[in-house]
Amino acid sequence: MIRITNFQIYCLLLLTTTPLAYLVTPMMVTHIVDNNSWLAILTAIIPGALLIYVYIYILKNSIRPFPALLEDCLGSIIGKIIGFFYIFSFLFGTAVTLRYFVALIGSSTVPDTPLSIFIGAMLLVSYYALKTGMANIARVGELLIIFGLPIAFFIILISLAQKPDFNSLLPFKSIDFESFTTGIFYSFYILGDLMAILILAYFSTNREKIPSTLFHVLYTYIILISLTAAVSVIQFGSNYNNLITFPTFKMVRTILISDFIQNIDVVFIAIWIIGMFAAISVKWFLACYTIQQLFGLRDYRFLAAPSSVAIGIISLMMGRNIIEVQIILHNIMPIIYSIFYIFIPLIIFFILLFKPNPGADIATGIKNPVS
Amino acid sequence: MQLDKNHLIQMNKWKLVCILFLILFSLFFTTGCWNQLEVNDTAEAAALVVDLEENQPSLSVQLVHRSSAGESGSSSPQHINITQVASTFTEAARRITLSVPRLPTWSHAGSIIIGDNLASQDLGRATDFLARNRNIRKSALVFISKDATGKECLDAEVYLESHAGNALKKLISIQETQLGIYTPVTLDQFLQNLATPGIDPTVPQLSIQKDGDKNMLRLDGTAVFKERKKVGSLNEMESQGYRFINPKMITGGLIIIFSPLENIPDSDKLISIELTRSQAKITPQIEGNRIINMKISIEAEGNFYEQTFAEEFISFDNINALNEMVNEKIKALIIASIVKAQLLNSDIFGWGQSVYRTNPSLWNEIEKDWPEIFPSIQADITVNFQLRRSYLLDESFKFR
Repeated sequence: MIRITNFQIYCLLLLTTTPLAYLVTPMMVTHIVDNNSWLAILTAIIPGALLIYVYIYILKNSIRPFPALLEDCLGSIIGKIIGFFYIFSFLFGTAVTLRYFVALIGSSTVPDTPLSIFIGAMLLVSYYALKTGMANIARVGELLIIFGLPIAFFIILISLAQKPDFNSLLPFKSIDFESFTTGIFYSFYILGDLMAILILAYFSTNREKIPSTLFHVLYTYIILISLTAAVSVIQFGSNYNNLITFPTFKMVRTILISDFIQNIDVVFIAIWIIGMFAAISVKWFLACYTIQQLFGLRDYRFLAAPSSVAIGIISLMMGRNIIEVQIILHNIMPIIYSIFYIFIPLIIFFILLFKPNPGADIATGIKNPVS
Repeated sequence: MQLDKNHLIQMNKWKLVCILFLILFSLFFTTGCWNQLEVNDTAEAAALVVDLEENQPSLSVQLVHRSSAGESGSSSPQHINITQVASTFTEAARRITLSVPRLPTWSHAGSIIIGDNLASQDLGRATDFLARNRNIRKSALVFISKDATGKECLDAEVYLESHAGNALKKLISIQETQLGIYTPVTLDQFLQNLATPGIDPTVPQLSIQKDGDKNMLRLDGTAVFKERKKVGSLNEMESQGYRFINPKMITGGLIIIFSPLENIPDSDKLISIELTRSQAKITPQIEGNRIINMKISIEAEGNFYEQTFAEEFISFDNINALNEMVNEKIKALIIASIVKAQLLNSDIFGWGQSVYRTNPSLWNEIEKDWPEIFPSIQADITVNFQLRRSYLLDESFKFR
């Protein structure tokens, strides 16, 4: 069995949640709560922490990893059926991530290149990564976070120096409760990707420290995304920000240092592409691993080839135009995430709360977060 | 054992062949991206003009001609201006390719001139084109033609510069540090102000001045917009006052005041003050559901640059009087700009936005009536100017 360190798990989880959120979440939340988007994202730390608590509790109280734990809790037939749906949710998540990545590249960088070329190239790289195994993706993820995360923060810092208008963050109290709650939900639902821990934890070299790893991911996500949202509002104001398709990307494009360093979006795109590769690979791995576990196969790696065809076709078919992609991202993805990554884990949490598995502590090696 | 060794050597050979094949194959990708563009097939756009001609969108572009090595001594013009009229701005831009065998690289255009016709009729006809098009640089500076079409401005000359497009950026930046009259506006700022309630945009104007038989371009006033239309303009004094109310820190500029000394004839008693920096803070004073006034506080610094009289002036007592004179002068400039903006009923200072930021519920109530409220708002202006340096003389020049 392969083993990955907790830092590698931190990197993988961060890469699953952040690359898409970095581009999408500040935009979505600003649409709902205008200049208070950063506050809504910051507040998402509360439901985020609760969700992590749910995942930790499930881990602590289950003997087998996901999706086998579904069968343990819900019974063999229902567990298998739900597990089967999870395969589609992971494949769909991979396809949406891929499609949105292509939408950005196609809209603002190289519009003449056919979508199939991007999708094909990205799938080829992720397929190779998956064939070589999870440990390799983890090692690449480690490198990516070490180099990419400081650059992501650095980009935000430089953007902040581009004629900022801090008054754009005012007023603080202009939002109604409903919008603010919706804003929190949109900032929070992507954290459902942390559900990958229900699989990754079983590969960990130090399972006891998994809870703190999860919380570190949460803090990094919240700080990065709320800062990005705040800086894009400071830069463009919320009204203009709401008109822009990719505010984060525009923020990078407007960077001008000493009147001669400009158009550094190429640096951002280069790093972001590798981040998206990792996000796609991890989600794809989850799909393959779930298939392997569900059908009792010996390995997951050979599944990369057939599933790549499914992902490629779904991402090509899912959005014929950017409006459809936005609708999928704004309306369909939150529903899928809510059902599969929040609601079902919550049901399992309650089942385990009232019907704990004896000896689960010993099996998982993770201590109850309360004790 | 020998067989295994041979097998290993065979395997390594295959690996080497595969790696070599991959390296050679990757050479195909070094030719560039799908969207590759050869420099020889492009023409650099220096400036872009959007206007209306007989109510039809018209787009003019100044294309810079890069002379090749053999043409280095050529006296032929280094740029060409092309105009196309079509049903949309995009069509007009693309119709340029009917007569130019190169692809204009719009993203190089550092200046965008909006024609007076378009600005006075409806900016809505061009804003989507300017905002959506990824090839139009959003950091480009925006100008408006005054008493001339945009195309005429593009055809006019600028002293010492071969083409107007590139000269405009220098023109506005250098005047800002030296004179401090006009505020440069980027396309992003312009679009942001158009998209934000409670603030109306302004744009520096360009006019054409005759110098012999030449048409020379110069900065001349600031165009004031109300919603999507140009409603008037600020003169030099008002533009300078408007620049002072800018909430962002301004650097550079010149202020001329009369000397406070009484024994000097009026014509000779001028003093030049160089402004080094100034920062405005605007706060709406609200009582209940009523805006009492806008409190404008200015903190400024500057240097003593010139006096046009021979009497001793720089002394401890006079410095305070001088600071006070500069305060009054800045106040007068600001009042002039406020009066003009209120006359035109255009909230170019973003006071509506300030009210929204301070009291959003009040703004929601008065937003609809803001055009009626804005002209009657009083301003409470406080200026605190501090003189810092006197350069190479620490007292007035003495004649013996």
